[in-house]
Amino acid sequence: MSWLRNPWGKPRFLVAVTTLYVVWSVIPVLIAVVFSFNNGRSRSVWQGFSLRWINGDPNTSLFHDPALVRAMEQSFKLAALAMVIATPLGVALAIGLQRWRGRGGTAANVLMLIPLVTPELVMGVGLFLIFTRLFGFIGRGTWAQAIGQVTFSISYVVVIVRGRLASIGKEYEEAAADLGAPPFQVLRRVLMPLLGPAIFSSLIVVFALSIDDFVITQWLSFDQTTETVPVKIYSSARTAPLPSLNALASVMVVVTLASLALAYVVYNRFARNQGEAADIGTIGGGL
Amino acid sequence: MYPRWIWRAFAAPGIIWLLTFFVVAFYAIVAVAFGTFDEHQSPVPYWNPLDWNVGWFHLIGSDLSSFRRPLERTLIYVGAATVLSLLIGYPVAYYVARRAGRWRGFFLLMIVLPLWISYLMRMLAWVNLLASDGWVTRGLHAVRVDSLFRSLHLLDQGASWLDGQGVSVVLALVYGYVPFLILPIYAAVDRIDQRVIEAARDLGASPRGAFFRVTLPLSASGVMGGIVLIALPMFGDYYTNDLISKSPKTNMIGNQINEQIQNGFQKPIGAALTVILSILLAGLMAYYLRQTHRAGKEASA
Amino acid sequence: MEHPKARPGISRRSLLGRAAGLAGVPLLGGLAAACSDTTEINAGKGSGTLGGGGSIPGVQLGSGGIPLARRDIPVSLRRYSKLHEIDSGLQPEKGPLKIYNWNQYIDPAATKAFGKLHGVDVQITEFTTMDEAYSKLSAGGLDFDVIFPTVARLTDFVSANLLLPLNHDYLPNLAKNVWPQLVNPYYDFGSHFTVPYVVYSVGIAWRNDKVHEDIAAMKNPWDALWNASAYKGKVALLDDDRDAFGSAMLSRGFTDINTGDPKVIAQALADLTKFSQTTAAKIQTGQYQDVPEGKIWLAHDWSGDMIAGALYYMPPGIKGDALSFWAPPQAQITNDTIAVLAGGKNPVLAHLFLDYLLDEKVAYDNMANFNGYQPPQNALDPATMVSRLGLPASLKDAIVTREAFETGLAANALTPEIDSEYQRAWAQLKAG
Repeated sequence: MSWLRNPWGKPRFLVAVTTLYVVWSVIPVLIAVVFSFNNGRSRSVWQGFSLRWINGDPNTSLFHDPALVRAMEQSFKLAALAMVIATPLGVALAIGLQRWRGRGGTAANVLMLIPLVTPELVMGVGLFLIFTRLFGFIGRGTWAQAIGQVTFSISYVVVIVRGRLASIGKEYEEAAADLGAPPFQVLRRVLMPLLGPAIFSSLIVVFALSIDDFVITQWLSFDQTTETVPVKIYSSARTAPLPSLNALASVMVVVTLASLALAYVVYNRFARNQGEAADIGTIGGGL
Repeated sequence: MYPRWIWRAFAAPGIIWLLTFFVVAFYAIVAVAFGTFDEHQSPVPYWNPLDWNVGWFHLIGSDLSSFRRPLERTLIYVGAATVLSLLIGYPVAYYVARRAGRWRGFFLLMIVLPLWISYLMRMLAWVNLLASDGWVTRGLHAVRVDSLFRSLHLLDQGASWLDGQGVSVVLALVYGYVPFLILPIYAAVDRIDQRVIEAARDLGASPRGAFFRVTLPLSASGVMGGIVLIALPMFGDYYTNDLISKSPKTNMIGNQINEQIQNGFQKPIGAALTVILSILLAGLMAYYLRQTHRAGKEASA
Repeated sequence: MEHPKARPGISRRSLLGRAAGLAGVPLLGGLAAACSDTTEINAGKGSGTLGGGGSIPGVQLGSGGIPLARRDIPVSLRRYSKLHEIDSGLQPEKGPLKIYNWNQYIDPAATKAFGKLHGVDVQITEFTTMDEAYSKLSAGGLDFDVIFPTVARLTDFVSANLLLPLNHDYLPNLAKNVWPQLVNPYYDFGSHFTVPYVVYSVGIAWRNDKVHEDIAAMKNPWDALWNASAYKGKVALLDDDRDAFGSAMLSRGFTDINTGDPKVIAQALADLTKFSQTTAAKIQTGQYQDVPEGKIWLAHDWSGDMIAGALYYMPPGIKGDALSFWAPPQAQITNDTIAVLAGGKNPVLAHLFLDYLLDEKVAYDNMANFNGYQPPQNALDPATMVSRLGLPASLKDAIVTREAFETGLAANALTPEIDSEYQRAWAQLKAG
């Protein structure tokens, strides 16, 4: 390993490993995307380019197969619900935890962090059991799925917003208070605007978490109308699906990446602290 | 300037939410694991610890043969996948953090990208490539990787990659989780002050010595954090196995739990297994939380 | 398996079972058959003599205290349900009709046509094993209208009050079109909860261009499957505990596939474990597609899968005669049923759907165009089915004749204790 002997030379070994890694990690996905456009039933043998699986085929293409359309609709519906519920809860919790001193605050802090490290399977089992045994009035289905997704998303929102809170400090609020603004005015007109970029990033991160979620969404799904895209991939990947499944998965990849790119740009433009921008990727990527 | 109660009020809705849907949900697993089932085979949870019925745990303990193998397999697969991930992940993270130069931004994007592509999509991609007429299957055959694996007894004679092969499951786990390992290591290596390493060199350390005695120890926390970060979900994984193998020969503990609770009647056994899994993982979880907490304190200090 | 103390809940359940059993025990065999289908088979008069928690010799009690039906012990299930039939003459609901069915088990064209006929949407959600379906339904909260239960699981469906008793006024096709023995089947005497869907046997399916042994000509063809290590990775076992254990028992010449004998179950488990370990068998229900496509070469399978395979799933360039199916002379043969779920919102529409599937043309088209499983219709003569469908001779075993159906070995309902034994053994097999 020459890079160890001479760390200032050309690290050929490292370049090779990293390049191979990037190829290995990205190319299979690209190939899967390309096969959405295969002119044949196979998802492994290329038979020419066609749009038949996107919208050409009147029964089985992405936009004509009702099961695939419903999966997309359900994915977006859940993402919307998760965003509008998890973000305000998480923002409020972040503000509260950042400033609530004392034993209660520490305990609450730990409670907030545990979902980040709990295997999703464990959360899925627990939610499955409460929605079938304890909260039977909610039952499984869209609401249960949204609740489940919110439950694991809150902690991500808290981590993002707390990072921003720590960096903006309390000076602006104190200045506003010194100028005579009542506390609620300060919160509404000083703190909230300052948190804007973090709130926006939170929304996008929750969106991406929700769209990509599999375990909890599957445990709480109920029938084919509550199957999201990942659940659909799971349930049909082994029953020889058509390339329209690749098309379905590809659409979601594009949507997720586009929304994250948007978040990155917006955050970089509005957050003054450049260091935080990199954190979005890191935090969101955690678990 | 703010009333004292206000921060508690801010935190309250989130706390109540987590108590209801996280703490109570976990307690429901415990109550079912210590409960019984009714005549329709639906689980009857025992909420009061005084009523708890330890029968299911006793059953698992005495019927170890049916649970030991999935458990052993889980440990082996997760262990192997973690080691392989490290072998791939550390060099990549190290290179991007310290040596990539003007390519750094590009590589950084490339290691973050997979994190945001649905896990299921990434597995689906491999199911396609490893199909018996898939490109990778044919490529591996052309360069005789499959015969190499067969001669090492990692791949069954006559079997293809998706035919219930443990080695495929391990490689799929590596593929699925290695991006989550690279990022923490990258962050840890990136934080190391270049001057520390230079100081070690100035004091006579060989490049190899400087790496093993300075860089590696200083990035150890990131490595450990990354390992925990990928090991936890791998322990609860059942879908990778379902997509790549689906054979009992590669059954993991997550598959057992999924089978027993979602598709079977023995829900209390599934719940008991979930409790056992959680206890096994509690150490890892606590380690990660402490580390995060410490890092948080250092950051705010 | 030998830790009776460590079986929480079971003693409690068997108590419940016995207590409920006191309420009503049916007459046996011949007597029941003599009853008309409107008469409850009700031994209430005689049940007093059975007090004290005893049981009738030869009759075991299943969940909810329902006596376990056997071919010679028909049981009417009506009295074990708290639910009531819908009134006659109601207008069908507006849908959507929600069907909960096995994977790829009904022709989408058939459901589409039904939807068009009644101006409703029809949604199909699929499950891959009966136990998965029962487990999900019994967890509550689901609003499917129609389900396709197996005979073996029917008792549990009824005792859990999951099924709506049927109003036969909506089902004229039942008496008109269906094999007489299934108009009044032993497992649901009087057809109070189910109508039959399709009949099938359990046997071995293989791709004869990949597997070169002449399996059907072997002394014990099952051995070809159990010892298929040469085809490692290309072998599958049906994901159904009863059918898998039944085949393992049969291949050792043991025909009581509803046995509760722990030794027999343990032997079957040992045989299946050895099989699954040496062949890396997949445990699944997708044979209908995987065998034709060559992902699986040799499989434990239901007969209808290969007919569907030959008719519908062959990849380009390969003909249906590449598929073979074998079932023993006295095979595991049973039927699946169709039932209306109590949790559904469209009970009238669901009744109409059941009757629709019993229509001769619909039933035949469903088989011939997609499903491959054989409807027990009077007008469809099994003898001519092979030529009518254009099936290769290698699949003639996949057609179930009426005589074979009469003497076939059906997996029937079990007592909860014995069912638990099977479940545990199955979990052990799946644990690898």
